[in-house]
Amino acid sequence: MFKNLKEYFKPNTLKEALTLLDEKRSSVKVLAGGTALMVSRNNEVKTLVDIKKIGLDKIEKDGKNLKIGAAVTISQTLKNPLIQKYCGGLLHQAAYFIASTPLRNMITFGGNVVSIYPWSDLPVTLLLSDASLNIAQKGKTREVSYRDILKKHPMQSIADNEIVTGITMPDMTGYSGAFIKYSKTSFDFAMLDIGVVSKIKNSKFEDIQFAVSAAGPLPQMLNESAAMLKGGKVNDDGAIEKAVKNSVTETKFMNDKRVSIDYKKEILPVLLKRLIMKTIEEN
Amino acid sequence: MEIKLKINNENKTFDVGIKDKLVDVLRKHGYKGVKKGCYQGDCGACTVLVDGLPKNSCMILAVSADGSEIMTIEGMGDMDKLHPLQESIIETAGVQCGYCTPGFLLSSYALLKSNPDPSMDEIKRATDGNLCRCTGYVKKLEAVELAAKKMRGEK
Repeated sequence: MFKNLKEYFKPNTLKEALTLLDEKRSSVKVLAGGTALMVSRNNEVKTLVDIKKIGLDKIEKDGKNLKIGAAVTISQTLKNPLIQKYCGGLLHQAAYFIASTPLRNMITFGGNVVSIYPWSDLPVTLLLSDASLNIAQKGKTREVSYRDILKKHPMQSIADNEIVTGITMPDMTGYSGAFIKYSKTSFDFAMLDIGVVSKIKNSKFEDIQFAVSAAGPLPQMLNESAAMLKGGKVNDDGAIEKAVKNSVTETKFMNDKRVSIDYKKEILPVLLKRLIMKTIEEN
Repeated sequence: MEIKLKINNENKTFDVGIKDKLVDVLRKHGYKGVKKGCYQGDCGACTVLVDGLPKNSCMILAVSADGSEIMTIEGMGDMDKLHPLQESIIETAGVQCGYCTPGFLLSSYALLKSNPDPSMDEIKRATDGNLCRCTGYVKKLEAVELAAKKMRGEK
């Protein structure tokens, strides 16, 4: 990663950081946890701008929404009561089995949703809740829907002189959520990540959403399959069977040296059904 | 570039290259208990405490650690005075080749600081980043339970 590294800066404010990025442009990378950078094979970086001390490490309520600073570590995320309560524990469940204890002390929320691998865990929760990224550059800010950003790899939607400052998680009151990381061991990469959120009223799915990660090259929503249940009765087992069976054809799969597509196709509907039932139980 | 670290309660100033990893800087300056295993954040042999938190020192650029407090196994105890964790892992026979052990003990040390009476599940979780190829983990985990008992004054 660092064959050509020449400069390291640790600014004290966001403004300083943005000014540095603006000056250095194409050869600069933002350093937060650094876990993706340290194992990257990209040797273009000449300048690192460390953003751990510019105030992006807070979790707070913004009206009814939850605002999570991009430099909040996964460990900090897990300790936070607002996170634990969010969407029936969905976010906490997704963060719980990321990597290992020492790595969770380094990996940041921002890193896990921007510098993503196919098996990254948090993106599923952002898709389900229709979260947005807050992005800043010198002189301006923008807010982008994560569902839009994931049409390609997030890094491709963020300019060289921009920093993701935080993530806005919309109010999910009334929803229950469930997440599973299916892997050989807790430290292993996910073979499949699946998340479900549902809002139930009068024993019907007022809303229901599915998202998966580690199946294909990017985290994806399964809108067609979820639509089969929306508006329907929660005890319509036939409809649930149809929807989870459809997930296998709707999902984009890719070859993975750790697990075959055939295996993923076997377990996806089983796990998806379990999660649907879990959200019904918790409602 | 010059960096200042407080290692095992001693103030140190090192001259480091911009590309140097913390594990290499520590080892260069005599902290050989910090081991290089996978060198990519997957095994935990290089685990040290940075401002009290276990982290993989092979995944940290030394320049970014400037100003931190670091604890290595050398700061936990020595042959004249073993820490209860070190004593316990000998008693339970939780050491074979010993390569994973410094990192494992440091992760355990951090756990017991914040949770003096952990369950076995909590011990497993706290050490989930410290892989061991020799022992099968059981004796190592029992050592942490035993050490916690000693530190609570129950043994």
